[in-house]
Amino acid sequence: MLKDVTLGQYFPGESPLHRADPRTKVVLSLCYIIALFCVKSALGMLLCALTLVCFHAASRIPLRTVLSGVKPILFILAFTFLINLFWTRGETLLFSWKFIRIYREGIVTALMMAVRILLLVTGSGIFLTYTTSPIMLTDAIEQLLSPLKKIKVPVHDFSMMMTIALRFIPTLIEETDRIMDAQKARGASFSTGGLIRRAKALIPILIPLFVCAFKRADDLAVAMECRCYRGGEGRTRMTRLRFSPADYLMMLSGVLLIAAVILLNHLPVGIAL
Amino acid sequence: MAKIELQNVCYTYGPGTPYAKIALKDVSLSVEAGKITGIIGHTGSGKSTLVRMLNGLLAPDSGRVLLDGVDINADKKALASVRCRVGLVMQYPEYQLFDETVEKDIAFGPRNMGLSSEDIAARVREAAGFTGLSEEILSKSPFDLSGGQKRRVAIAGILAMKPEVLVLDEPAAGLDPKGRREILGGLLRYRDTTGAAVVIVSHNMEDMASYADSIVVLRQAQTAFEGTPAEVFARRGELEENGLRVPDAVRIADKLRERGVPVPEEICTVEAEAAYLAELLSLK
Ligand SMILES: Nc1ncnc2c1ncn2[C@@H]1O[C@H](COP(=O)(O)OP(=O)(O)O)[C@@H](O)[C@H]1O
Ligand SMILES: [Mg+2]
Repeated sequence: MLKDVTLGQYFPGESPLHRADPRTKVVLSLCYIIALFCVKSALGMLLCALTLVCFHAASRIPLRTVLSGVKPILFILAFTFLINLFWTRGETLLFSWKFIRIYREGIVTALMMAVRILLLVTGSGIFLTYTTSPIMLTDAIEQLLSPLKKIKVPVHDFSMMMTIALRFIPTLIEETDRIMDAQKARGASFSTGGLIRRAKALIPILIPLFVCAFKRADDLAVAMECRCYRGGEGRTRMTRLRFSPADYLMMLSGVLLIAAVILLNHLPVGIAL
Repeated sequence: MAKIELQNVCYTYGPGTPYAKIALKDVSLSVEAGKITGIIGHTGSGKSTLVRMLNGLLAPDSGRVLLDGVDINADKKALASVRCRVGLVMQYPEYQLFDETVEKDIAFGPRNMGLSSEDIAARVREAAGFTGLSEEILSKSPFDLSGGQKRRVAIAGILAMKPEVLVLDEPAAGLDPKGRREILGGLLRYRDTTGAAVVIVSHNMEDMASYADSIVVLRQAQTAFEGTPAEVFARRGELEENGLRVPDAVRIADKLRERGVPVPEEICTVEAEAAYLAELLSLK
């Protein structure tokens, strides 16, 4: 069933990470990504991993949920690992057979790359998608980008569109399920026949779906106008985002992580790679 | 033998997740050919889930669905033919229309059954007759029709498949009284000409009292009780506890009995009541 597709992966909860200001989490994720791309030392990578483990503990997201997020990228992970393993040339040849040559540098680069991607995916999950509802996220992005309003970028309109789109994804999925059921009840079949027949079988689903979506968009526009929505100009908010001391602490830890990683790159104790 | 039967059916949405929701718990139901069975119950009591069982859109977690004594879920490949024999009109069916003209849309079901084009045309005309759609409407686009007309087109789309069991989930919800009577009248005529078994889910107790041969009351995923309309509506207290009304005629009869007028229990439609009272008054 379509329902089983997880789109928004938000995992409702009450942890410190859930309660944190969404802007903090966006900043923290950015810091984390920058740190991951600066890492050039073993100790630096270990530090990044440890940071993630700490935040994971604070998020109270089940480990299984986090790991299941890795499943879709397993192929990419394996692919990058192998490419780096076989194509990196270095000085210490460890193994050679016909045209295959594996160097010490290749193993190191491949491992670093794989760990980097792994941390990147699980990290953005823990910092953002699992702990922040999509609506909060668009709110945060709007506020963080609001300086761009000065140069006439319609930040509010974009974030409103994003919010509406996110809000209606589950509705559309439900609708699709219902229309599919209705057409199945009329003898339609979506899983038999050749490619062309299957494509044709989609028409009785897509047309009602589009008609409904347009009608809903129309209704929504009217409803918004009835409540005097006129875009972002002079608009205030019911719930205003406020940074708490914990938020500053979290952002600080992000910046410190970058600093530490860069420092370790240049220090002998970092074990440069 | 019952035309279609549910035997101890259970169903849970999202089993094994925090959102698991039991929608049917040990529900049994048996529907005779040529009879109209009404299903009533509070919102969320499992009515729509139950009707989805009848044509195999949902398969029960446990229990069986028997059509003419054969388990419909035993052979998944035969489900397509089951769906042609058990016609299901879903809630708000007007949202499933898609073809250029009403005529083609009604023909979608029969076309999927692989009938000849003469056969299809004849069935479309017949179905349009049952639902009161004129020749002029047949050539229009379904998107240019009023809500009530769309509803008729959607119902005609199922009737054109000539199902032996006709299942309707709130077919008249949101329509005006005249449109409601016409649609239900059409269903009655379909039943009379084909001898089909009919299952109707409805919130309208007046309709149930006038059209249903028997009524099943669902309460929190279980069958609360069942019987003829008179038997069911006689248990007014239990119905009202479940958030259901009884027909106005039954309430009036209750009041009359309180004041000493011996209105028989089996009267639960306004028409029968009026006739009884007229007779009573003319005797005096
Ligand atoms: N697709 C679904 N996923 C999860 N829960 C559902 C789904 N459909 C219905 N339910 C739940 O199952 C229960 C029975 O629903 P339904 O059969 O639609 O009731 P009714 O038609 O009597 O209002 C309700 O509590 C509803 O929330
Ligand atoms: Mg329902």
